[in-house]
Amino acid sequence: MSNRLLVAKFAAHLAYLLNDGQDCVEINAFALFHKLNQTLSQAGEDQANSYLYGLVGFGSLPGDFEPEELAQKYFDFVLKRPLRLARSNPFHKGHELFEALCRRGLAAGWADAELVRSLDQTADLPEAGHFPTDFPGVLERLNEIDRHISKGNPAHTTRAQQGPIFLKAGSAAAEVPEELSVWGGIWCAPAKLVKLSQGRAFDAFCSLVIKAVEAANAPYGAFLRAGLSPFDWSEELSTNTVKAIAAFRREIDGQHDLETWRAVWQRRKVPGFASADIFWASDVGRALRNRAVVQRVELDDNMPDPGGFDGELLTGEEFKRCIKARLEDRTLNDFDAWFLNRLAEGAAIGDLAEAPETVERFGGRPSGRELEGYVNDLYERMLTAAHEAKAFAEDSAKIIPITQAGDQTSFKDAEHGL
Amino acid sequence: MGFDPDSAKAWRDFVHTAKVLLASALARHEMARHAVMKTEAAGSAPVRVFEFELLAAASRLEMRFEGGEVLARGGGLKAVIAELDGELNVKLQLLGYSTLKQAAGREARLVSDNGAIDYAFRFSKTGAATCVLANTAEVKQGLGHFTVQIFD
Repeated sequence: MSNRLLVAKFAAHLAYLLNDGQDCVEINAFALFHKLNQTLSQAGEDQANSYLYGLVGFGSLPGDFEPEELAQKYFDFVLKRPLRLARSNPFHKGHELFEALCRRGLAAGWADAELVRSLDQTADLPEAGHFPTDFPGVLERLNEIDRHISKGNPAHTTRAQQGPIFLKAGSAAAEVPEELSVWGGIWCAPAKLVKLSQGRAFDAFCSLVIKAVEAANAPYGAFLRAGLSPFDWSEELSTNTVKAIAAFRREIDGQHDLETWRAVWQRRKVPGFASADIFWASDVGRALRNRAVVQRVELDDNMPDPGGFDGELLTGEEFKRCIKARLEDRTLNDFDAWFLNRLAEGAAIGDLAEAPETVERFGGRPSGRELEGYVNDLYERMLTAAHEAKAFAEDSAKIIPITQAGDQTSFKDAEHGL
Repeated sequence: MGFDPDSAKAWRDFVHTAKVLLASALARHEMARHAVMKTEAAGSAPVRVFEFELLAAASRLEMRFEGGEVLARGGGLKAVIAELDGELNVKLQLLGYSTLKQAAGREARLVSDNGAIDYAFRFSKTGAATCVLANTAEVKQGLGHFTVQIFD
């Protein structure tokens, strides 16, 4: 069963936690960390589809880690990973999440908050002015974030041309770090938030959290696909090299003998190594061969969607029109169309599981695992059809369906914030 | 220009919108299921309770944890508590065949007498677990006297 949606599901889980409250939402960073750590460390009955195995890589990484230890390492590597700008974008997804959370601030004055780049603006907290009462707390937390800008980060140029990033709310302004992580964005934002209503408002927020978490998770996912530990190799290998290793590893298909490596090398070279023999004898080559022995869970056929393509949330009407068009071209069947329409109307999966249409489709009330399998396969079919319809331009193709042979990791440089 | 559901952009947006709706629905379903399981677990009595009392540490005004091993009263479980990067890590290991047989792989809770800690976790099949706690004065005080409760 495909688990393409695992990253997005985890991100949606985070989005729900960031909207959890009666009348308003109060973010307690440590309680949130604890809940996420527990979520990530649960193995469940369906191991390959659990966050622990499918996302965190428990059972696939070397090292004698306990589930909660590894979940914490994943948290540090992914959610605390400073994101970087991509191309000419002035902000990355970490910034956008931070801005969205600020706009949800409960105190008066947050609704119009915005991030701007400016060469003229200065950080300002006037003694007498109109700004949210908890702005000083946000400023204090922002000032605790490391302002380092990594070598090669396009932010160097963007900053020189357009100026630093400022959070503006009323008459106050605070400088925002260029390399902000998903967790940094959450931690710096106002602690008391407006609760979003279910439907369009929450979906838009959830869409943003999914994009931010996908961007943050991309390098970690690439390492898992390559069969290498991100904790051991992230300092030495670029994401592009890791992607090339993942493609090479896929083609050798567990055949760890030098002849196979040489044959595959003709089609799949790994940058930084002059020949198959040199790659074979290198530290990373040895690690790959050793991984064949210690790896207990094979992730290649179950890897989550790398994400990162630049889709936007459709309106309800547009979504229904797309469903109709996909029903006509047989991408979707009648049940798929009914299921998606009902979800778009706000139905819960638990309710849909009991509906006569579902009972008829599954020949009885489906188990949670059956339903999750159906949802993943539905998404997989949609991705495949989108790919066949050339929805993803060749030079920016970030998704290749897992049903198609070849490199699955051709998403854009995951080190960027996308 | 009107909306064209067959355009490349509409395809990308459609796949993205479906992803948001499907992932959100799965997450919501999963969270609801876990909430039910948690309620059920909270209502059941533990099958075994290990009690820890860190007298030496508790006697100090400012408690410090330096990674020494502590045994539960009556044995069967050891704890190593260490302060790490602003957090408190409590590493637990079940001891002995009968304890492992009874508790390995099971749901458990670390609960402090002062109410500052109520941490749910699961022992691994080898009888190990790590609890990551906030490094606050209340939690440190709570670690002076706590229990580890095993559930069936």
